[in-house]
Amino acid sequence: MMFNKKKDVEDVLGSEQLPTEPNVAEDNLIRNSETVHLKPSIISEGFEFIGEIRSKGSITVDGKLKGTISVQSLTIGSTGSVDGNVTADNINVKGELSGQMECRDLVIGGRAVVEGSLTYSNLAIQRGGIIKGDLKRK
Amino acid sequence: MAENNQNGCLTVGEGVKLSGTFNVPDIASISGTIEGELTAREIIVGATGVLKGKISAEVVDLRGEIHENLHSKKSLFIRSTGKISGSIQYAEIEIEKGGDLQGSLIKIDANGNTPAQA
Repeated sequence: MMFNKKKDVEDVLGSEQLPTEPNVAEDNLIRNSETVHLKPSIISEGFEFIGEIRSKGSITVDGKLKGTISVQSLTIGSTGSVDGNVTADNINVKGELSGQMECRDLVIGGRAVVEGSLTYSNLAIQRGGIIKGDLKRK
Repeated sequence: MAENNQNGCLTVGEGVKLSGTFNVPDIASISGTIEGELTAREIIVGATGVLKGKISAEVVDLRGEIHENLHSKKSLFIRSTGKISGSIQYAEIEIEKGGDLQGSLIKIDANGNTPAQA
């Protein structure tokens, strides 16, 4: 009986696999459009995060962040550092940023250090900002 | 500046095209086109100015275009209409929004040396 029940459940799950997939995509769409209005996330000073971050909202990093980041807006505070693969609409750097970056608007503050390969549409660097590496305009 | 004391200054008007090697002790004010090598204390590139080749100066103020190779020993200021492509060495940089920067960037120290990789 138990086996049968389990099998039944599996069968149900298996048969629902296909129709649920579009629903998942739809859910994601709904969720993404909702999260645009989310409050910003903050990685505060002394906090270190290694991994992947994906958000349609904004994130402020005052601590350390390593990995793959895909967000709408990324702000790196003066104590913050981000290293890895960054895709964002807006990036505002006051701290350190390195790795591979792709963005629309990039603002580099006067004490910021940016290193790596960079693809951008709009770029502004304040006096004193340091930028090293390969730049490409979209 | 360039208007008051022309000693050691080069002014290239809009529409003027030059090619060759230029050594300017003071200010080079470019609204035309220069191809080749240009060394100056200060280079001011107007919105219509285009520099192509090996460009070297202490101070660069750019509203026009610079291509290929730029070595800026002190400060590099790219205005919103400015455009740079190629290999760029700078000690201090500032870019206004809208400025176009493509290529490889290397920071040098104030003495003009490339510091050891940090």
